[in-house]
Amino acid sequence: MDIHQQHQDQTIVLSPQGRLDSTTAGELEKHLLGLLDQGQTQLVVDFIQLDYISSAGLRVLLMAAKRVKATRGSLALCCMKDSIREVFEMSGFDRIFAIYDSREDATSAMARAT
Amino acid sequence: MVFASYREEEDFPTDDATGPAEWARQIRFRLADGECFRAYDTAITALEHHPGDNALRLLYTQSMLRTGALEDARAALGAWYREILPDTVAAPPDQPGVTDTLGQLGELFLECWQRAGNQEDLQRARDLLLLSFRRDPRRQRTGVTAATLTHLGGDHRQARALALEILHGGDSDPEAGDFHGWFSRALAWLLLEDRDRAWQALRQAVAGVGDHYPTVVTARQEVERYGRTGLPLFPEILEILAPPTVVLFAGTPLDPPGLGSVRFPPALEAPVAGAIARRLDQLEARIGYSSAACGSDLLFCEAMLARGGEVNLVLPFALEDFIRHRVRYAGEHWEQRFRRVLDAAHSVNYATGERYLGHDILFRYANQILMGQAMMRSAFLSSEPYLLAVWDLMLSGEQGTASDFIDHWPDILRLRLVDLDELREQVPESALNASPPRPARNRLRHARAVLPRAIKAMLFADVVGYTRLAEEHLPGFHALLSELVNRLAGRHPPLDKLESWGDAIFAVLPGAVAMAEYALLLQQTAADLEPGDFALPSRLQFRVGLHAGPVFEARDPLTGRPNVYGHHVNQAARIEPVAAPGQVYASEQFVALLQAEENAARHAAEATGQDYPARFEFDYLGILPLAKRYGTRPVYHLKLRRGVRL
Repeated sequence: MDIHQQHQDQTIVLSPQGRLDSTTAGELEKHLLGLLDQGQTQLVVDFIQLDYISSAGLRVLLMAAKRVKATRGSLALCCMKDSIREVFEMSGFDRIFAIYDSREDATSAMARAT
Repeated sequence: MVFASYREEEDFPTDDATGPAEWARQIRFRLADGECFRAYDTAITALEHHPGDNALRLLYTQSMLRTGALEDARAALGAWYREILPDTVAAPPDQPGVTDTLGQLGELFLECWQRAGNQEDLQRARDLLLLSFRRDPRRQRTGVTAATLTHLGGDHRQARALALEILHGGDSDPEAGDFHGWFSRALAWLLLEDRDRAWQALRQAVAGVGDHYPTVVTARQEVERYGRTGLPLFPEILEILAPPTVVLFAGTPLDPPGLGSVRFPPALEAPVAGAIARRLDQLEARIGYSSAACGSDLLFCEAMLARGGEVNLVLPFALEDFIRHRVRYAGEHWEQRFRRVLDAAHSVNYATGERYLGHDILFRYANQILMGQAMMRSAFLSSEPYLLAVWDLMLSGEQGTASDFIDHWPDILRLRLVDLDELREQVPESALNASPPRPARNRLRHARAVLPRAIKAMLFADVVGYTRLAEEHLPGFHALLSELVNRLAGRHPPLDKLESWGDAIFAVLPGAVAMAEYALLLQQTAADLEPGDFALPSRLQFRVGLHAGPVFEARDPLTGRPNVYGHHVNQAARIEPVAAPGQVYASEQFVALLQAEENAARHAAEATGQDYPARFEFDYLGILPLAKRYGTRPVYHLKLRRGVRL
């Protein structure tokens, strides 16, 4: 899977593309763990180009959120398509993540938190 | 090795002296309990003892239908309908057994209509049920079903007249606990569109059933049929008949000695047990599927049993090996708890009877079998299962762990998590680290794995009648096989392995869906080849057997080619000889994996707004003796669904 990475001040924004499922979740996991190992603590995952997320993708995000929290950092999600947002809301996982409508909202929130 | 064992509800005699009535009682008991496969097996044995018995023939057909073999059941029913109807219609009212036969035949045609929607089945069902009710008006359930079908057929006036006849036919209300009496009344009131009286009667009916899920499910299906007649379906009516919640469990075991970090120490037992119990309450869980390792698996099983639920176990490998590696290290009291759960479980299955040998892939395989079984059970109950996982969110998805289970779970909406990390934060650190030291002799020791293991789908195929081919036919036979290979080329995923020795094929693929496609494509393509084009006396037909399981992988020392070995390869080879020519037979494990893979694909498609029509269907053939005295195993007939193209 293609994962675009951009720096915005102290925050790194990742944009995975396509489907985040059991086939591709490992790549995002490796990418996120690499960033955390490097000491990155402000992360945004931009869903704008994500069509689908499975339980495997959700697990990777939950793991990253936990690990970021352990370092007193934060992880936010943004730009979810309606169908994905609905899955997060109906399953209750929207209460675990900070979810924003736009990338600007997410990075601004990160900046305020530091 | 016994692959599966079920807790017996009753001791049934099954010897030569057993009469038809006793056999019928056993079959009905199993059908009423939703054990349709076992009912079918019992019916076959019963008919071997009493081949001409009408009641047993009916129950055999009913069991066959319940296992999903619709076309075979319809064919049997159609022949029977033509054979017995003239005699039964003309029979005097007091002739014993006639009213029963008419009613049961009507119910079977009704079941066929529900599954296939054939109007001829509907008409026959309605006529037979009405005949039965007219012969004995005390059979209110039969009468009310006839009334519903009459309404479905468009004759609303006669349907209402029949409903009133049923309601006013009895002298008084049914007794408390009389499910059929109250349920018939509820249906009659529904036909008359009296919601309040229907609701009250239905509550009385369900109160008499308790936790007998198949009855509730059948009742719900019957009520849902009203929706198809154009009558209003009231939500509160369906609520009373909600199917039981099936919960599949993915757990984390107690920390084994020498783990090196704290994940699930003994001090966390009570918080984990509490969190599991709360989640089960929220889900109103009634049926559970799980493994039984010390720690959260056993806590889940105990919680399910404590709430009066049903526990179904799948253990990943041989029992004593499982106890040694997954239970005993936590102490004797956990082994006692394990044995209590084992005794109380509704069913106990083993993903493989082989030993562990340090291969964690067996845990993943067991998880796949668990998932397939829970999904099949849920489908039978018109329900969808939840996955409840006790998991350390910080951990990655090593194979066979709860993380791995979550990764393969298709439906986020039906995923519930208990976070071990969060629970650890609620326990003082001193308590977390104060775990009692365990005896060194209980330390986990994994045997060194000689060969790596992987889960594979396997196909064995054999050409029917090959040994009868004369020498002059061999060139044509080879030309035909070459043409077969050409036609298959590019139409299936690359095979991990393909071996042939003359008339037989052994193929290996990593997934069950891919293998099912390959097997059916092989049969279909072979059937399309004209024998005359190859100067052969008859059409090429294969017997095909499919199985899936963990196999040992290695390079063959003789040929130098990659090969697979082990008990599951042998099991795959033993299915093919029992397959009918031109058909594909599969093991229970293969079907469970196929089910799990298809469900994952369906959820993925639905989540992106796409359609994923199920492609395969399978009829249960029974517990068949496999070739070369390999014991008996459940075997399924795999087919492509109607209208699906490869």
